Amino acid sequence: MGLLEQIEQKAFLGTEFLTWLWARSEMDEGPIEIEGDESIEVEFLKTMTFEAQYGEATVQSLKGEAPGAAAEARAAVLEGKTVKRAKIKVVQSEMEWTFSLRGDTFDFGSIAIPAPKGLPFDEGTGLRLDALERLFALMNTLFETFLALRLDEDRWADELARIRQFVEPSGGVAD
Amino acid sequence: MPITMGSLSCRLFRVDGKPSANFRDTFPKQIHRYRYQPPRVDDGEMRSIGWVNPRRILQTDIDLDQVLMGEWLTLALRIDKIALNSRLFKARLYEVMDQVRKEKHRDRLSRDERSAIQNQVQLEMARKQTPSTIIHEMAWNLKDSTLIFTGTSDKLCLEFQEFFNETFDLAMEPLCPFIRADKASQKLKLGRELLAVQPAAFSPRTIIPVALGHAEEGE
Repeated sequence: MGLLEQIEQKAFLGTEFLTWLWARSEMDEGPIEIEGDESIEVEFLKTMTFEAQYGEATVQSLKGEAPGAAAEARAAVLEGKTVKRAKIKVVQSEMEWTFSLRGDTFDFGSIAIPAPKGLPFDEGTGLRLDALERLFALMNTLFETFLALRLDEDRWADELARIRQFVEPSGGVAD
Repeated sequence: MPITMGSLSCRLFRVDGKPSANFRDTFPKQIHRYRYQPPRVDDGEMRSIGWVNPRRILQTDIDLDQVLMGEWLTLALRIDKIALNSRLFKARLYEVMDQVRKEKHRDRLSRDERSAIQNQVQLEMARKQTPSTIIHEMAWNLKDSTLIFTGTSDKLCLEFQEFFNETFDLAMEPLCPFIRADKASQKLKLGRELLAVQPAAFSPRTIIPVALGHAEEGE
């Protein structure tokens, strides 16, 4: 299989990552522990877009103060959708970033960079690049944490069972 | 949304390979060769692309020390495009064709004549038109090969990749989920598992594609 084909075929890993991150942030209601690093707080803010590969309504957007906590978010996953795009707040120690992330491409949007304003160009740009680098490293660490779980059959089965329990606590059966 | 101020939207890339040891000598020449120059309308150019200094976007003669910030090389990519309003273009074209027919006392013009008039009108209008300009920035970490580009459309990113490749003779790949996963799986020694992985079902319900029958069925 060619690289382009693999990129296309495995794009679901990005939307699954966002879905896992959302579920983790809602299930654990606390920081995500990272091996060998400081824990990371993740919060889903204002807008979330869910997408399914099939069905009559394939895209669903939720807007509000805390769409991640809404029953509609769990309902979307229950219907077979994954998180395609979301606005996220990430906090680690004294640093905080808000941005949107598109799962299938890993494109970042509207990143609010925690760097002081009004500094000389070199110093200001240097600090902004440092803050960006740290955000990208954090997101990479979170993705690697997800991937280590995702590619381990037993651990992923346990994680998936937790997420399924979270999206449908009653364990009920569809109509 | 630039790297140097405000909020930022971007796609991340990984540059394949490192700049040569003498990049301080070679980069200025390479950047100068591919610097921004206005579209040469008289040669039929309706679009132009090239590097400018991100801190002074009208400056195309770039001093490396001004755009090199520690490990980061920052550059801005300026793209100018001259677009003619199609209704105005057609109106002017018919006007000129009428004029020529009257001058030549003919009812019809040949295909070559029509084509020549079309080019003449296009040139005449393009000369008067101010190009629309977009500017995107890139920051390339020369040490770890990460590159931030402030554009996210696939078409733009592809053009940027090609232009970067032409300028620096280095290829790059977008850090999309598979590329990230590929690198991480090598580190985790899970390469085979990555190739075999299939989409997960987060829902406890069995979802059956509509095309196959019912939308949902109980497990």
